[in-house]
Amino acid sequence: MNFQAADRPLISAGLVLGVGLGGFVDGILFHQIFQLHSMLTARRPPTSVANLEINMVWDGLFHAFTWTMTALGVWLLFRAARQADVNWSGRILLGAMLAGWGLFNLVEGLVDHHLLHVHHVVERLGVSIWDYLFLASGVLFMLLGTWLIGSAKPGTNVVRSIGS
Amino acid sequence: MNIQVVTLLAACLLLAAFSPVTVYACPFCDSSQAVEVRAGLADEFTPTTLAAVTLPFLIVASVISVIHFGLPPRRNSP
Repeated sequence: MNFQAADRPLISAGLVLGVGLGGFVDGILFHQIFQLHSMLTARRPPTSVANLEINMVWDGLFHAFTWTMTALGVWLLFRAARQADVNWSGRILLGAMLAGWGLFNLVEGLVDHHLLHVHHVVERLGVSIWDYLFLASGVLFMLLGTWLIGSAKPGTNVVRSIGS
Repeated sequence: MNIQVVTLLAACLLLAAFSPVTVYACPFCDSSQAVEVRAGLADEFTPTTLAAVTLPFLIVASVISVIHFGLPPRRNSP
């Protein structure tokens, strides 16, 4: 993929933020609210308190990584805002965030659901349509994000706008 | 936010995740269940589980690094 040099800082920040915030959506919505997709359910089914606690620790480690990615994304965004030659476009940021979320869903789905088999979206079904929909959501978000980045018009830079 | 501060906070979170405090803080610390939890956190599957948690982040971070920094220059073939 060939991105413009002026778009690159915002794309990197958006991708990292997308991974972090997308990971939080996964952790909060699926792991905690829907009680699905926890980290180790294929090996430790959540049928006892001990297994729930073990899953909770590994989910906690997952959240530590998503927090780290979010913090790194905020730092990259802050750094991009201070650069004079960055194309400051909401479409690029939103598109990169969507693409980052999608990339993470795709990679996480392939590695954890289909390669290592440590968990699946709906564990009692094993590898199911939900795992393939998870992968499809990743591809869809990546395509939508890439389209948004490509359709962005040259924007203004925050530093220049404040300065003028 | 300084990158060193982010790294330090991330290291603290990782240490906390693996600290015995994580397990001792459970409501059944003195029970046989606590023993089961501790054993379950360090069993023969631990390396695979650790890979399952870290690999997706490492792969995604590598892809983003290539987008951010570009591919390393190719060596010219003789």
